[in-house]
Amino acid sequence: MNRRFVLATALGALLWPIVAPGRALALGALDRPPGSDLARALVATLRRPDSAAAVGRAYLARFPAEALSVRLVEGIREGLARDGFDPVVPAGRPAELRSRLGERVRRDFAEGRVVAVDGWMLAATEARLFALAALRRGG
Amino acid sequence: MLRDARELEDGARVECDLCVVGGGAAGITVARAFAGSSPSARVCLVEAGGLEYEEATQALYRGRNVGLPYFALDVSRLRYFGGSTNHWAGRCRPLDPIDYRARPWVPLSGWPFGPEELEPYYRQAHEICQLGPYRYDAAFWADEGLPLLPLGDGPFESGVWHFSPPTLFGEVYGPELKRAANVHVLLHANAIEIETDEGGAGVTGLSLACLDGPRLTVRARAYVLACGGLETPRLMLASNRVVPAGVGNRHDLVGRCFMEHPHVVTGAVALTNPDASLAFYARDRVPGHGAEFRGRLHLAESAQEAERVGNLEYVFLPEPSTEDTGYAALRCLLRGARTLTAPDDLLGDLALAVADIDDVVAGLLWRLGLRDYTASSFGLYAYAEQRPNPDSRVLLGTERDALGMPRIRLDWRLTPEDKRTLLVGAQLVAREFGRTGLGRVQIREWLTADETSWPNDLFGGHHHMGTTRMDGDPRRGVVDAECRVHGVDNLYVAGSSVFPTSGVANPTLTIVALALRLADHLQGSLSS
Repeated sequence: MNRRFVLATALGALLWPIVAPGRALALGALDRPPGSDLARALVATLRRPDSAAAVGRAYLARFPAEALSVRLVEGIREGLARDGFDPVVPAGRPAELRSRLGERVRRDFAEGRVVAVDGWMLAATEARLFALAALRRGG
Repeated sequence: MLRDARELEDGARVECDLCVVGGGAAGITVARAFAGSSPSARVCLVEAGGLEYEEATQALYRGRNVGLPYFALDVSRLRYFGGSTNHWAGRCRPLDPIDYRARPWVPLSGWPFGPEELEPYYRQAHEICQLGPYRYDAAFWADEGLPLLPLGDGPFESGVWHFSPPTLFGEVYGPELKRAANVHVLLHANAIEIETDEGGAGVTGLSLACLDGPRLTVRARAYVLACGGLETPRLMLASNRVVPAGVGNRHDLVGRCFMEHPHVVTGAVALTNPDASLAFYARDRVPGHGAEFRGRLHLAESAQEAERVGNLEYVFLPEPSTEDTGYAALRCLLRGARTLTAPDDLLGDLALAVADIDDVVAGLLWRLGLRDYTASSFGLYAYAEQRPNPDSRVLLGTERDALGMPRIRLDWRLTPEDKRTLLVGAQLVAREFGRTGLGRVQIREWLTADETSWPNDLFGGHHHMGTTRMDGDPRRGVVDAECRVHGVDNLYVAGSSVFPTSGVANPTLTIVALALRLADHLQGSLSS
């Protein structure tokens, strides 16, 4: 996994809060029960899902036990819940979801919740998000 | 006065008050101090080489590396007037306050005095090394084009090195010593033995030898060994007619605790925040305030203590030397074309070069010197403190040089704790860059592979420290707080061999500061 993928993926991850509004989500998803809708909403926050999926595959190769969408989604939700945010409850607020994910990623680093993927130190939340992208692309 | 020892009679004896052995930064500084403020003291500065590089004299520095791979010992230092200042890079900064502390997590740490003791001497040393304003706060040197990273109250802080022109001590201060009536610089005079009284408690003379020339003796009231971190212990160990273990070596410490500053790439940084810049920490010899400086990212003392690691700092290497940028791919293709050999992954490189055309253009313009390469990926280059390790040492070998002196063997060793410092540091950089949204960090595999292996691209800085370390307790140090050799009344040591800990600062500024301090002490003791 080279730096180019990381650059592209991480750029996507960190620019969530300022991604163009044109990247609209066909939601109403956020006021539905969790599961595949939430997984779809989470992956939709990624700017370059293909690159993210490449990183996600590397993560799953290292942590094969995480290769379940429901487990990854739950792990991400737990992280957001620590910040007092439930991604399921608010309705139609994709920008807020992106912003909250970005905050959780930074807090993961502050709290030492990091994983190494091919030597790259990633936040647990973003690694799971990339893994989710990989699963949804059949990785 | 400058004199060539080869012109003296065989068996000649030179009498003086103070004999300084070694015409490098330390020796020249001590001699200058007496030229300026103690005109009644007769000083003899003994220099093994001449005024220029000479192959035969330089060959006396050859030795063997028997530990970690290291520079050839006749490449890492220079044996002519001015010493290793004839090839130093000029990078200067004082030690950090933590370097003086006895740290429970660093065995054998602690200097016998604190930073306030050296502070006035550092200011004098600053002028001697021809440095700029005595300002080491990064904010003074930063500006809009070279901003500091927004690190807040995290584990890192920004700092700077100053750059000396570099000052070639022999060229710059030789004329002054030549004019000084009370200072005799004796060139081509190799010190081969420290003569002592029967008990080894006092030096009675210094034997000198010229290559294919006369043998001489110097008699002085006091002697200062300023030959460097490899040669000073060599001379002490080889002077073993009275004390078999060598002069000042009753507790088997001479030559031990050899320390370098490990320099190594510990990771890669992908800068993902388009508003962030690492230029302050990436550019070398930046002009500013009438001087030149380089920014650095330093692991704060609070973090060193919290993580129980050594001192550590970083610069970022912006060169397009990675395998996965278009410019690097193009270079690979061009190299292959020049040498008529195919690159390892021709198709992959072609694809990258075609797809990454922006990076190729930027890299070419940088290469041609037409534009700064605004890289988004960097090497994470660490400069680390080495812990005092008694098993890392200078020993005498069985081979002899042209003067009959035993050559040295250098057994440079690092410890798992040294490696842990580098690993923890890289992890902290990764966490801090992620926390602040700057980017992501890849940690090199060798850091996590095991506790003891080191990569092939590990280097030192040609910094030879600790081999006659300073400590008030003769069981822990070779010299005391005044740099006097324990148990030998009139023998002193100047230079980086007295450092009890290495810190992470380049040693020359501290060498000069300590030499000034020693000169002050000697002026007092000789006058009384």
